[in-house]
Amino acid sequence: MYHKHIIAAAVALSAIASPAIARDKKDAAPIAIPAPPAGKGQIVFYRPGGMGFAMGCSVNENGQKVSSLGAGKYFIMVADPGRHEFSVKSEAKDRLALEVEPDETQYASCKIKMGLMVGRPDIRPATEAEFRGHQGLKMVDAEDMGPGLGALRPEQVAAALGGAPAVASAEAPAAAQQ
Amino acid sequence: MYLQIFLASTALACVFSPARVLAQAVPVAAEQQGAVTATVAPGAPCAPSLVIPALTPVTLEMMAPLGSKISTSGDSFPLRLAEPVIVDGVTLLPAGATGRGEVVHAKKAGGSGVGGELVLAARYLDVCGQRLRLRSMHLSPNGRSKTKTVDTINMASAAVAPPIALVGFLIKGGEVTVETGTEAEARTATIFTLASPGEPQSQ
Repeated sequence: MYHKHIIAAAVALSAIASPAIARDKKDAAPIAIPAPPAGKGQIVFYRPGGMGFAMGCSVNENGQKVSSLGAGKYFIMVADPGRHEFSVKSEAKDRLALEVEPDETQYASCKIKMGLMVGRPDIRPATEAEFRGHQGLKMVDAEDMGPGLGALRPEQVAAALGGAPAVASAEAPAAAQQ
Repeated sequence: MYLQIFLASTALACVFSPARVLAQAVPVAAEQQGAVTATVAPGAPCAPSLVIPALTPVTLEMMAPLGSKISTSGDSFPLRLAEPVIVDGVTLLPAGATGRGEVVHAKKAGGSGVGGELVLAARYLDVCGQRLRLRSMHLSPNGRSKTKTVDTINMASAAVAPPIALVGFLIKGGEVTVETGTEAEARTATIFTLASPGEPQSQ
């Protein structure tokens, strides 16, 4: 009898709470990405959830860590225009080269695919639409970022958003390059 | 009498013909002069006043087949201007100029459902013996990923028979191909002007 009451209460609670949670998810504000500094470009790296959620996907450039990327996280890297090559590594290594354009934002995703012993990170180019399609992504914590200046710290992102409008489109250069 | 008429008509023809020729020549010269100052006529795009602003949109056409399976990072490939460059109603450059692009990144599709990857960049067009630098060609298609299928097999097999998960290694993602004739948008990287002979290029 006592158990029946508990189950009934749990069911009633979940019925009340679920729509609220669903609404919170639906109403979540879109992630604001600041425009890159003038003359620079930037790449938004993100990792959707899925397989291998316990594994990190550490993004490196020229052998130096840019940032770790846990499941459901993203970070923004400001870079000089030109070709940049990134690598991720676990039991296997994967690379991605991107052409950073001045005043533009590009996107790249990291997924953990099936591996023999552990999952293997797979880094690939992505689009803004794909990035926006993943709900609930959160910025990487500052302590998970590399020692260099690559990944923007949360306070830097906040400052950039305060001074410049958020990027509306990944493919709209903000200023003319003379 | 006939001889006099013939001589008179010949003399008249000699007097008026140069005038007619001149009258025909003047509009042509005026048109050509106008073309130099206002617009560049197709087939004569190398007027000294040619100025193409930075970030001018251009439509490019790939002139070779490209793909995650057949291309290699660092490969150079031919492209051409597919549509004339028109700014404020003025044709600055007719279609047809050729140039080069670069395969920035190419990766074949792999096991575990991973699709092929291809990142392409437009580098330049040859215009009047100079290079018109290009940027912002967003042509980076990915092959179809089947990682979700592999994940589903893994989840299902974990409960029933874990060795079945090994099948996932054999599932290959889709390759990506860019056919000859594929068009893509790009932009001019810098302001383009024609340098006078002996002058350094303005790029």
